[in-house]
Amino acid sequence: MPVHSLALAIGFGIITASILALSAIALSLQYSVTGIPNFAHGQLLALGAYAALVVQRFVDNVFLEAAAACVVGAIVAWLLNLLLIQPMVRRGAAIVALFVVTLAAAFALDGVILLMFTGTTYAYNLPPDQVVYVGPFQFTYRSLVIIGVSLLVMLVLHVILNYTRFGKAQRAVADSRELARVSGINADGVIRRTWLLAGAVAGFAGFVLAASTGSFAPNIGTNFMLVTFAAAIVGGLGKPYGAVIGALVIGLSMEVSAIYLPANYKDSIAFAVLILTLLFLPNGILATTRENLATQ
Amino acid sequence: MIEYLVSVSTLAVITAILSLGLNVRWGWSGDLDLAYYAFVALGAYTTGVITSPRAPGGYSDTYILGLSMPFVLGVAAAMITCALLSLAIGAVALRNLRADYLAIVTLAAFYIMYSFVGQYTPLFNGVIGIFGIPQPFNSVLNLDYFTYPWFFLGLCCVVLVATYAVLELIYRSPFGRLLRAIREEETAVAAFGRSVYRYKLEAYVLGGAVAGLGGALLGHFIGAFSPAGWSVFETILLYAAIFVGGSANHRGVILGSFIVIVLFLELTRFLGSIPGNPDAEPALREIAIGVLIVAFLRWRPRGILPEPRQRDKTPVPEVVAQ
Repeated sequence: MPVHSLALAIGFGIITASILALSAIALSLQYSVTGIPNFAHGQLLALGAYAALVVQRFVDNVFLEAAAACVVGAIVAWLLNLLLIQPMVRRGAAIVALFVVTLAAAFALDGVILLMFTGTTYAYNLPPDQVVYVGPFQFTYRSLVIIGVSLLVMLVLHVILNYTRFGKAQRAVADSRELARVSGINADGVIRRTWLLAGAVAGFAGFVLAASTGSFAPNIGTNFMLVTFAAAIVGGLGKPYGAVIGALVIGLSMEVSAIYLPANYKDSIAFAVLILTLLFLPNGILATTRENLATQ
Repeated sequence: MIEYLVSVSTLAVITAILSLGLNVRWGWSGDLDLAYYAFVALGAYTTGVITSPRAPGGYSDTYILGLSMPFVLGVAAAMITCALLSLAIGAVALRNLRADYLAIVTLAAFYIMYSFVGQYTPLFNGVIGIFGIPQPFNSVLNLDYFTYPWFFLGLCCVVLVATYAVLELIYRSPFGRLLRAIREEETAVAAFGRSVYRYKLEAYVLGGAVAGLGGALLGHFIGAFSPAGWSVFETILLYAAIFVGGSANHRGVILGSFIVIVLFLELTRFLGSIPGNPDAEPALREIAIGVLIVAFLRWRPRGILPEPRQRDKTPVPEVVAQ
């Protein structure tokens, strides 16, 4: 059954977008509460992918692998905040210095990954895949699972953000740390738990990313992190729901552009969309026209 | 041994010039620019295509221009190209005046330039890059293989001293003072009716021109330049030099550059290598630079030589003093 190249590209775009959405939600959630863009996000993705790989060497169980990815991502993100960021915030460091700290942590973690796993390309042992047709689109069985799981994670995060005490506290801290504090919310605690949650989602996203590409090397997170930033900003940095829309915009434009341009330019297309967004809709596509005009 | 020392010294001097340029953007106006090394690369490429002979073309190496012009014109072209590109990128990146957006946009700009230069071969010969960049003035001097490096080191030192002197003058000028005021309190400067955006952009362009200058020297020093020679990590190395030496203190920045370059090149000699892991060397370097930056930002954020406190030398009129 022939599939039109545009439909094929849109199908790929949806798969990319669903992985990107996971990664971008994690980044955006963490940013909304802490105000720091985490440049070590790519390393959280990579560590998630490698954690799952290590588990697979012992037990071939996809749930255990996913759990390992979440746990490692969560612990590293939590430690990053606890050991590097919080002490500097307490000393009243400039916000830009905190960006640099996450950047330095990114390189240090990259080095640790290289030391532990070398630069070799690894692959998971995955069951053989099957092509599935859905309407005009062509997917594989595995990619449908990825889309489904990604939607499920989004639903869980939606419930956490809106219907739990922690979610409410999180939104309060995101709006104003000081106001949250005076109303009796332990802002530092909320921030610590936010890093934990965002790290878990990021580690999981890394596992899903590596499973979808098949094989991966230490640089798996680096390029994807930049695309994640693009998605998060297009959706409006610090707006977890916007991140989902941003992921769709970026994912679709990357894959559809690959019909007309060499596939190597995919990432550049994502950045071009990012720069256009910043020029014309600086607060992202979800922001109101007034918000966007006010910043210009 | 002595050749090695000359070579390391030359690299350290060029790194110091590059750090001084980045310090204009970071130390003076407080902008976390992550695209900096793309301008360094552009400087190296520009002088390469200006001073090298025409490319053979066809299935062989391809690049634009190939004018066989003298070194001085190559450097001038590198500085102008980098300044113009800084104007374009800075205009977009600084537009929102938000530190987080600036960092992300410049990082994105870096990757767009990187993938474009790597993919589009007619520009700078793609992944192979430009090689055989001529040695400055050697067509006139005709120095041999052992004497020329000394001459080039001397040339780089002269450029470093000149760069230092010019930047020190600008730093003390009203323009430099205004930039530091913006760094400390943007709103206050805006309240006095100054355009924060314009001055930040001017600093960005000045930093870009210095990047072009240092990049041109780097291109002539290595004699070749390709995408393998520039990444975000190189920018971070320059930041490490600035943090170690002391942001916005020019002597500190030069000192920091020397320390970081020597540490970076000699590190693996002390740590040794790990058998069975060919990537241990770059891995240890990445970890060392990361730890160095974090340690300095945490325990000595102003660096070894902190920025001197500026005092107003004009006497206060008595009416105001009372």
